[in-house]
Amino acid sequence: MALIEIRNLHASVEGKDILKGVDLVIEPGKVHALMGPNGTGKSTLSNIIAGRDGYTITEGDILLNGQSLLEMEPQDRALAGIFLSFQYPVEIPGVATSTFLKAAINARRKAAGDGEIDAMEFLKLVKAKAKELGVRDDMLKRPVNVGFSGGEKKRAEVLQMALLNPRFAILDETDSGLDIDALKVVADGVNALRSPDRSFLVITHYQRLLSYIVPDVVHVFAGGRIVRTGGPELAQELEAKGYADYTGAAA
Amino acid sequence: MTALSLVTVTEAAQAATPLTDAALTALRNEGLTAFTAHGLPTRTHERWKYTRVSPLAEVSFIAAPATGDADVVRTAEGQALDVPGALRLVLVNGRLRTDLSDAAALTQAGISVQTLSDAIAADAAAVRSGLGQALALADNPFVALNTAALSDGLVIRVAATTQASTPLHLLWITAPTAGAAVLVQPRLLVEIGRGAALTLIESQTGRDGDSLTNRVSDITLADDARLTHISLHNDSRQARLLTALQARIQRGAVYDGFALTLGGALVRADLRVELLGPGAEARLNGAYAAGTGQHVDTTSFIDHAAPHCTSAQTLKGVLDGTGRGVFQGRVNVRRVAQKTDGHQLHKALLLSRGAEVDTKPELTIFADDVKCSHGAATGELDEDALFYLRARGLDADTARSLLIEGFLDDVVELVADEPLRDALTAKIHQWLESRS
Repeated sequence: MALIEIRNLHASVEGKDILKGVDLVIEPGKVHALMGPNGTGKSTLSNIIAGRDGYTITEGDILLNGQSLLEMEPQDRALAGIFLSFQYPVEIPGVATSTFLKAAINARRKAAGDGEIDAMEFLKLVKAKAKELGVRDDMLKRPVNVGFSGGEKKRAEVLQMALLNPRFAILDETDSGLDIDALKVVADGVNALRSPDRSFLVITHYQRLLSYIVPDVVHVFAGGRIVRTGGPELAQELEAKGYADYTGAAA
Repeated sequence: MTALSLVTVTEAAQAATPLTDAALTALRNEGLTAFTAHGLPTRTHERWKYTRVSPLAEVSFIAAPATGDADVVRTAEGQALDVPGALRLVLVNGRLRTDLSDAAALTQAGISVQTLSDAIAADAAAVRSGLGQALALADNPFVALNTAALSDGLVIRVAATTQASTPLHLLWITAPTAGAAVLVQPRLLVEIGRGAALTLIESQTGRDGDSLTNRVSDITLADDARLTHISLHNDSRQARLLTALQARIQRGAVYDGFALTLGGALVRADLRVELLGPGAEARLNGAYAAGTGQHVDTTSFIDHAAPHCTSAQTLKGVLDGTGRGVFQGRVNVRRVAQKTDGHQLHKALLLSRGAEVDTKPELTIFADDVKCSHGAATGELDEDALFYLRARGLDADTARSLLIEGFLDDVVELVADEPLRDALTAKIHQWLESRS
């Protein structure tokens, strides 16, 4: 069975149609890339999957393991295995990153019927993962994303992903604002998480990220829906030719 | 507006504790005359515009009894700050209870701690000179009333160059009498000598019941002195707490204050700080939370009366239910006070439609070479942050609590000392848990 299935999804914001019939099936273990011009609804799609308020679903459905997500609260979707790596991770003054990570881990444990994580176990777990991703210890003490550079924010997102073990992760423009070194670290982190039962949707404008996170399937997204699907070579073609062929379809 | 029972109880207190010193007796009478002449402040008083105290006139107050069994302390301990290692002095209804206090607090080298009446008996003139004048009796009815009652309270003096290694913790306990409203009017004098340093912690707590605590603090910092002053106002649900603080800060001295207000029906802090010598510094930071039935008012006046002085005030409040917050802050920079560095900020978080906050930051500057700023921001919980937390699996209530906690903890970060910070955040967490 498909891990994620999006069926003929239509959505609008304040009466304006953004998604106009998205169909997407992702099998377990697969990495799909969603590429396309800016402002065509890629981020809207990721927000809707994660359960953000403010969108009206006018038609269609999103299924995780055959179960509809649409009536679920964002936290329940997260606990069911959805993870959104934010394009713009939110700064939260006053809340230490470690406090936040612990709360997120404990929410998961609570849902699984387990007790709260032991303080030592937590520290060991976080420090090990943080080290792999080049997240410095002092970042864990600092408030969530406050004063983090673009690269640090994205690394912190991947750290969260590594700690929360999602079934399906969406990387929304994870490459934006990253230099090549940070991009490699983030990509290595994501690649380390690839597994036969975990799937990814990598949303990006550029082919660059896909040289490091090599996708199984590439989709072109324009005008609120997927207009073309192919293999990794499609990303190369888009890099060479741009999106000019598709912006017409958007209009 | 007159408040007869406040006058009657204060007169009775005067009669019960006659002073032999003529000057202090005259000062008491001045206080009583001022209060009787002006009565309770009304909303036409600029500094009481947002805080209504006229209902006090309807309450029949009695003098607070000198009660206080060990049980009183046990209840208070749960409300007070927990600072391990601090030397504790327990004051029940304004009176020092040596039997409940740490004996070592009274015998530290270079630090004198006396009850106000003992200090008056020993040297009335010294007490007289330690009483501030900045909050003038005619304009400050509650300071006038407290002055009229002058007898309960504490005097702390730190001798020049003494570096107190252990914090002093004043545990103020208001213990009302069942079925009656009590009036408690202690006075605190703190004098830090030249080059000396002290950490002073105060926890205002109280038993359930009707009460008015009208406490005035007079603080003097000599040249290069340093006072770290942490206050917690965590009184019982019905309690009313009016505090006034007048601080005189001399050349190179640092007053580092932080006040956390969580409990009490009415909590008003009147802060008056005078920076009197070059290099003097004052920090008046704080946080508060007010829910239904709570009104928290911070009204401050920082007077830059010398050049090269620094003042900083960051206050954050969380208003829930029908809770009400007030911040009136004025920074005055006199003509001589060149190179002043003065910053003031109030931030409020409104958690419900019924909550309200009134802020009025004011800057009056007469010098031309200064760096001053002030600001006020009022908002609701950040929806983006809430979604971010929920997208990581936190339920809505936990996410909200974490954001509120973060909002308040953020200002506690301004407290330099880690054990003090931990004690403050522990209280904030306790409050958050009691809320959910």
